[in-house]
Amino acid sequence: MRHEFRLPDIGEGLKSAEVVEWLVAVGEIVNDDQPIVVVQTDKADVELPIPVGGTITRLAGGVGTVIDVGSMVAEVEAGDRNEQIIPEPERPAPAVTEPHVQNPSNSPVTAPRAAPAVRRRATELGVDLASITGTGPGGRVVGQDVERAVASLSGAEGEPNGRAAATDQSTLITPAEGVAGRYPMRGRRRETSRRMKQAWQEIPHMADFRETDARGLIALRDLLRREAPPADAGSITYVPILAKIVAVALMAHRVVNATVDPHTEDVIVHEHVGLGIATQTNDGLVVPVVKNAEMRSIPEIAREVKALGAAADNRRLRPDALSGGTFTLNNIGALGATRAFPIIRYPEVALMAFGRITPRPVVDGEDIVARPMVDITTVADHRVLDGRELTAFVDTVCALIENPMRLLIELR
Amino acid sequence: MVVGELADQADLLVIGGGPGGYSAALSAAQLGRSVTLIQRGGSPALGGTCLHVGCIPSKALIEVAARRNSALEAAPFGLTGGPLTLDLAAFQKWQSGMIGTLASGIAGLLRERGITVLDGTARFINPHKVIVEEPDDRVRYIQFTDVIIATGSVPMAVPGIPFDGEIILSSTELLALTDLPRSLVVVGAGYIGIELGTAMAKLGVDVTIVEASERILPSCPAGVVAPVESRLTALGVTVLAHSTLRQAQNGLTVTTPAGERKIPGDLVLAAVGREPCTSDLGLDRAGLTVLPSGHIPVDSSMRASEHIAAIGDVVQGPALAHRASAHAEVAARSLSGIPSVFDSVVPVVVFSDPEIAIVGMTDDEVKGAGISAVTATFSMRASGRSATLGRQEGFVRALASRDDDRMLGVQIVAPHASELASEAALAIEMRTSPLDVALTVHPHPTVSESVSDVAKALMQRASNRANANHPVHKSGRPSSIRSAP
Repeated sequence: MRHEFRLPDIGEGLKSAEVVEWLVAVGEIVNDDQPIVVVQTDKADVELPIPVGGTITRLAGGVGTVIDVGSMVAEVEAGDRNEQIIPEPERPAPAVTEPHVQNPSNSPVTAPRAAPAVRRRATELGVDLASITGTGPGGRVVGQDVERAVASLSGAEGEPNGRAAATDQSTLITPAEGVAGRYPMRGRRRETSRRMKQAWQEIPHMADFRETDARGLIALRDLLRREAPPADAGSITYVPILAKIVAVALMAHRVVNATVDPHTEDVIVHEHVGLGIATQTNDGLVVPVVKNAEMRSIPEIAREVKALGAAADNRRLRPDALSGGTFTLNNIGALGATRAFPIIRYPEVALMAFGRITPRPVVDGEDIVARPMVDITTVADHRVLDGRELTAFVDTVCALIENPMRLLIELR
Repeated sequence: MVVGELADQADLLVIGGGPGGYSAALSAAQLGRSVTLIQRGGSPALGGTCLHVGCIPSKALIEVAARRNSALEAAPFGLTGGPLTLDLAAFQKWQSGMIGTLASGIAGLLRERGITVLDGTARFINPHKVIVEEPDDRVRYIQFTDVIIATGSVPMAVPGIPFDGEIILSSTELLALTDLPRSLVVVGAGYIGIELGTAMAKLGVDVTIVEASERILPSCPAGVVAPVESRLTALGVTVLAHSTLRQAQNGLTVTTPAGERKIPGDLVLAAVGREPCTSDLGLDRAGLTVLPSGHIPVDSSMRASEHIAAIGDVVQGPALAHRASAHAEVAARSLSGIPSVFDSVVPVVVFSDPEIAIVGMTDDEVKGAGISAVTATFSMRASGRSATLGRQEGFVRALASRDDDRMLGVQIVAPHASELASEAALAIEMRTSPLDVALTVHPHPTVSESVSDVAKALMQRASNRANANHPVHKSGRPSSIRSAP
């Protein structure tokens, strides 16, 4: 079967690309996803892998050929693979000898007397219904019987089956009376779990705790609200202002606007700020990214933050809205917190959390006065940054918060 | 720099948007998965065979045929008038509107859950990637974490007599007719052949049914078919058992036990079964081997491999929409890390006249499993509601295990049997005692009373037998037992 591999839209408004180097020749046998060509876009040289392996039968043209998006790059004859091709890893089918019609162990006759919902629960918990004595009418196994069985299994010692090993851990933490619930982490929870574990295991975190006068910040917010068209006034919160301040500070401390290549451990310093805004939704935590935050006005950022938040709540975020982050801002004040120890969003190198603005006594000359103060917690990847870079960056952020007029210094 | 994958990414991919596929997509989305569904024809084709060329259009045709026929048979009630005439083109127009509405309802559900629906035909190129041929000769690649195969099935042709779309029709083409034929030969007396043959006979078409085995509905227990056979005879349908259609050139030639004979037939409906749509999926590239029948072997969690599940008609067993939907949930949960098994009883319903419902174990299955069972049969002649319908043929038969007194199976041959099936299924799924069913108050007068009547009869039998220590009742033939007054 012949496949035509066409130039995909690789983003950034690319319309065409120029062939810099062919990595394969006609007649060559390639694997799935093997890079076959290097093309030049206005940003970079890019290797393009071919999605389907096989024998190359045609290439678009010589070095220097310009290929439009959607036009043929190469043609491959799939199907006649030979030994040169590394086979796909074998994924043996499960040992199914008889085609499955009905699970015999759970037929209406032999299975214990239990309703479908109870049977499902038992399957989820890995409990063999046959091992349970039902307490319902006529020996019926009811939901409580299953939960009790789980609790007693957790408490059991040295059970010879695998189940006991699986519950050893819970033995340590489960009171003898039983468990209140047990559930698998899935969906967004599972994703968050995976990312947090990776970040915590791989990134040596260090933190900087500050407290800053928020009067200038409050004044700027009030000004922006007054000046904004009524429809937009609601979107002007502290978040877009802090986003702008952070973006400007990152431009002054480029090494903080970086990510780590997980494979090479190279530090990649980014030209633009992709500012992730940690957003709590009903389904869990997501971090939509405001792209090129350093180039956008506060009202523009405000509108985008609002739109991203609404999309996140409705589960309508496009995947590209979650990618491209270079730094994350976490408004822990929205949850009522003042200080926290957040975890860096892998593979970024720093994250900043802003607490709730609270009035506090402050020494001003000879006097103690009440001032609205904001706590700023900044965590950084100690592999990449030392205390000096971190504190210098935080100094800039604090200075901008105390006197937002300093933003004018960056104005071009 | 390498630009990642050039394939689109999908968390959970569903191939096919019939009752199995779209149910799987909805279940998976509810579990927090990001779902992409591929359906040839895109959103308007959602609902698959069931909605567009199967369950729904066939039931619409059966309904309209039954209404016309009941008017013809209403004279005993004192209701007379000329035969109603069917404008089949007008019926088709009404029907396509109804189907369109249902399909857009499914599309709306999928949209609400944020499921991406793509128009195209998918084929595996490796265990984690498919190529999708889209309309206008475009292709795209989709790399996925998990996949559910729900491509369904298509009608099989009679060996040596391929479909031609003019004379030799599949059920799909028969259901799309805009003119009624004068005569129709139905090859295959399975549920599709019986349902459509009966409907066409009720619309005034001269119907002959040709069946290779000894009787109609060969996959149903022998005991349940007699009322349907009598009804076919009353409707003027000729049934040729032990017969096969040999050729369709220069008239139709059938081989019968009495030798070859020519039979009249403007059209032929080939309804000899359905075959799974698995041959063009590139399953070998996914590392899967299909059975000789084309079905995909799966385990009880509906998985064919660690990250590939198969559901519905591509899995061996009866090709039923509700079976596919039930598979769907198990597959979505299994692939999302929740231990799940498919252990449900799948009711089989035939929209014959009278309707048939078979739920749980049959007499043969009980005997085969060596289970000691009590059985009882309740005739519809004792049902007041059936009498008011003027339809007293049929019965409800039930089986319960003697040892632990639980409902094992129910067979119903009666008007509205399709609607009664669910109560029987619930009783079996709940592992109830016949006494539970008997003690549940059923409204009067309804056909459903027969279910509680048969449960009472079972209880009576069980207690009689316990007292007299009789041997197990072996006969598969229905007998008539009246419930206690």
